[in-house]
Amino acid sequence: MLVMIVVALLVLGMVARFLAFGSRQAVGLAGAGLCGLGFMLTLLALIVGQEPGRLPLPVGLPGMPLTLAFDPLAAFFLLPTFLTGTASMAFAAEIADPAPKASLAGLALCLAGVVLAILAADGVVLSVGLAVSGGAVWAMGDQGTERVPLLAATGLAALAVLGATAASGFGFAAIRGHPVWPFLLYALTLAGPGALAGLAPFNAWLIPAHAASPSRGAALLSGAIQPLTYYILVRMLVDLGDPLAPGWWSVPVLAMGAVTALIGGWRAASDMDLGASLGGLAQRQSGLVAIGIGLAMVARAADLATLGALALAAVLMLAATQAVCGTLAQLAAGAVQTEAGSRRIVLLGGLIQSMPVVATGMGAALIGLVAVPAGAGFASFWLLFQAFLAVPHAPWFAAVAASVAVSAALAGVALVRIFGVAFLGRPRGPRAAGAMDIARSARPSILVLAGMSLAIGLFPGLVLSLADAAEHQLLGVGSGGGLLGLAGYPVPLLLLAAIAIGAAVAQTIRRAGAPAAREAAAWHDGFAPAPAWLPFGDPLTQSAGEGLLPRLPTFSGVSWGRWRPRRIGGLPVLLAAVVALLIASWWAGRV
Amino acid sequence: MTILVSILAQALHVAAVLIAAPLLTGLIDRFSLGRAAPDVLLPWHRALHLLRKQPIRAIGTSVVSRLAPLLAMVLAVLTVFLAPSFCLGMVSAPLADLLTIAGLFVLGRVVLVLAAMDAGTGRGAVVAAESARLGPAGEPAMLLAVLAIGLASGAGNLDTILTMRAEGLVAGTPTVMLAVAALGLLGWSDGQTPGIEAFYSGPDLALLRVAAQFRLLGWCDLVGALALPFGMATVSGGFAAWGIGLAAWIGRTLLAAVLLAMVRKIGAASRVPSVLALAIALCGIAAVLAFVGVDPS
Repeated sequence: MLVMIVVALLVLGMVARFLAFGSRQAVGLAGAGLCGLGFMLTLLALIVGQEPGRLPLPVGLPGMPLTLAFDPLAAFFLLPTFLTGTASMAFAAEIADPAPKASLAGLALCLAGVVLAILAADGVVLSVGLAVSGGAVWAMGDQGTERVPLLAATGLAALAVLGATAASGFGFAAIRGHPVWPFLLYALTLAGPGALAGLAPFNAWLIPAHAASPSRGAALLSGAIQPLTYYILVRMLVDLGDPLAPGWWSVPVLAMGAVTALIGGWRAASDMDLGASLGGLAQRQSGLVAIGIGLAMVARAADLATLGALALAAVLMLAATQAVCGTLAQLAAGAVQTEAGSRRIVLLGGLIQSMPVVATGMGAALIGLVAVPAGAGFASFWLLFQAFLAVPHAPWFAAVAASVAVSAALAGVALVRIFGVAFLGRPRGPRAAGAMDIARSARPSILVLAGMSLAIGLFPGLVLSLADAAEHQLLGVGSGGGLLGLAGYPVPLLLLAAIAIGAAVAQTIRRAGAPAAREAAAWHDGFAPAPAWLPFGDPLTQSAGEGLLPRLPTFSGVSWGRWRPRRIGGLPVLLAAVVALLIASWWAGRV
Repeated sequence: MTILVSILAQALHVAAVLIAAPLLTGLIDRFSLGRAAPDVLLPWHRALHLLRKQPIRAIGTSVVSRLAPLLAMVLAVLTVFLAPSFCLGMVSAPLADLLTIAGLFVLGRVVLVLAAMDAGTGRGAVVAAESARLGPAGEPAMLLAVLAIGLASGAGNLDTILTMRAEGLVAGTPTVMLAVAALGLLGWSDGQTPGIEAFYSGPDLALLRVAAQFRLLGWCDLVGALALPFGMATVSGGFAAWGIGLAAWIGRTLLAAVLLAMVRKIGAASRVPSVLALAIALCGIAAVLAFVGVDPS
């Protein structure tokens, strides 16, 4: 209960600071401190095994009591949220965003909304939290047409949550076990929060919204809102879902996840904008999460405990990875945009020389998001793979597994392309050549997040031991975990072997006694050096990252017509949306 | 006592593969070129020679290209350590996870491509484009093949699978053999992608070359152990069994050298996309069969 009260205070503090006009640094550091406190308390509660608690809120409309609850699932999702909140607050305290509206208030409001939504114990609080967080991200950028779908998706998700829970009287405790109209709950969850997670066929908005948001908004979108949608999907489909659901309910989830993972991977490997590429990677994570949830649903229908534990462990791992690495990648992309003037990778190049800290952060984030060994992405990929080894016999699982494999390869191409073109090689223009690393005071947030990303990859067992209680809550079985990881996960020990081999090889080379290296101009296969009017070398002699993969045909999706809601300020829209939601849900509850 | 014996087996395995990797390349040269071939030990001599030469580095390259040869070497050595040669149940057996071995191959390729892009030259762009073209075809095929083998054998660990095969608990079913054939094709095409040796000299170049040789031996051990596991010893089987296992492993490696030399002689290097397509078809069939759980036999 203590944790709940303090966390509620934290939420209130954040909202209160929305009105405060303190200095940027003080507000940011206060926010970072609050988030850090929340992180510590949640971690403590998870480690000591805090009993689940409920807190009825003193506010609310008649006939519609609002409740918060703190259970292991919520606690597990609070951890990465608080972590990314701390890091992005500390980052924002030190570095002003070039986008004028990307204020700290929006950051605080969004985080408060996410925390509120995770702590919600009924559909109303959950949808209010969703609306607040999505609206805050939307209000952070210019309200152009590219970003209207973000607002629409958030509103849709909030309405879907309301509609899905309304029939049972909103409270999660009433729904759990015997929901009224379980199919409605299932279908609305896929259509609403599923759309917000970017699951196909509702995926058209996600990548443009990432690309058009200012970097701080994109970091929230990718590192706070995406994990929140994963939480809602797990909560509504696994925790509150009908335990007697027929087996075919998992098929649409698996199919949506497979298509989403493929599209996300392809966009990540072919898009020319850094923000859009990273958005593609985020969408790929959503697809993998949906596949994991689908496998967990298969497991529940067929009563396969091992499969369920593995699939759910993969989902929780993916959510933690997305929170840490999504935030880190978008913050690094923002630093690149500020310093090198662009997020288009054809205009960058050689940034590892001039921005080593940002390059480290981006490298750690990308290793976490793709599936190469020792990265966090490999841990969740490994868990999904083990889950596939335990699925019941059915041929179409082969198609889902194939899509996971193809999307892993595409993510590998995305890693090579983003890091190789933007951070390695020669600078492609004056801005890229003159970039400076981020301010010394902002480096800790990047480096801490990078360290977390690597730590999750090397010791996934630590993350899973925190997730164990949540798995027990949902399925009654856990996948264990521990310092050396899960049973059979070889990476931590292999790392020791790799260090030993590396030391032995380096020692052998030193013994051989070659003279120290000397530097010479790069060999261009005999071509003459570039003329003086090409100070950055011949652009044709360096890969621009274009054409590595053909571009995916894009569908414009819903046309937004002539409606250009630019003149409406962010806050009024936000408040109006919240009020409208409350009225609508109150009405729905009476009926 | 058992742990000591398994450590001894591991040490013997490490020594054997360290000696064999450059020899395998020399043997392939010998078999494909006939009498005109250089000495079988030439790869060894070249590597030792290069280790003493002064390296030259391109101006403007970063820590990525400086570390890439060492990383490539470490990754290749890890794969060779994990894939069993003559003996099962070594110290490294619990680590010989099939997916991780596949991941190590992928990571090795990623490291090389990043190093190629570091100097900002046209050749690096060619290497990157080629691997981006072949990667999305080859890597999923490898992952699916590994998944099919795991599903059909009921375990994800290479050593466990081979032990069960040796004890007759699972058979080398057609599903497994299809997947292993796909792995063999992928292993061959892995060596055909353009290298980045033009960017390096001295000890770095030696490391890259030896790493490529280790990679090749790693593929041969992996595919050979799954395709022809005959004579594979166990740690507790006694030294006579070890001798038989060692002889069987040498036989498998020689067979691989002959096959690779024949493939090189017919000039198949330009057919990499077709071979990849064949591998994809094979592992696709294997994966469907494995997921259905029926074995055509």
